[in-house]
Amino acid sequence: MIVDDDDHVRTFLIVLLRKIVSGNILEARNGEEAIANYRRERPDLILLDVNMPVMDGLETLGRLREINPDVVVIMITSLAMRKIVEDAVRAGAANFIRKDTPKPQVIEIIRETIVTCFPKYQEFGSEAGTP
Amino acid sequence: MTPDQPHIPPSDPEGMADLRRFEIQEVRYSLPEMLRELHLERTHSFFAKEIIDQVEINKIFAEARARRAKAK
Repeated sequence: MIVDDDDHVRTFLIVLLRKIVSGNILEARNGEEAIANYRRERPDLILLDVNMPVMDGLETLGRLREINPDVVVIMITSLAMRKIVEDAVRAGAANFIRKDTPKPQVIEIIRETIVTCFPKYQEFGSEAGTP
Repeated sequence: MTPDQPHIPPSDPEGMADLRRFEIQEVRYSLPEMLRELHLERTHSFFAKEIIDQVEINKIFAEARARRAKAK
């Protein structure tokens, strides 16, 4: 699931995710929508924007972890302030991506997170498997 | 003589004795106090607002993963 209030960012991330994962990709425009979607669909992986209206990313992460402590969330942001990154680590985010990171590196970070968090996709690290 | 050394004439043993009285023998820092200061700096100062790049982010997450793995 991709959670971001910016339509263009969501579209960009969907295109990127399609290169490395198969299956349905859900979208949400804010934290509340993300939580509703999560309760309904239980997606394996969530890309979650930090700055959003209604409910910000860190609060959403906390709420998602209340529902499922093992939820796998990669935070995304335009401005990575040290405190926010450290708060995300403490809140249990699996990874963190700056939006200005080059595409190949974003793909690599997502791939690495999948391999680390889902042992069944170990072969995915060698690009052999697709979750 | 270096610029920050006080000028004491060699024939002034009393002055030397005065100076020795103020010599620092030992400096002790309180670890909890230093950690509290570090926490305050990280959360309330410019340091907390420092923008970090993807390399630094990856480093923070790699350290966190290593700590979690050790804890298990």
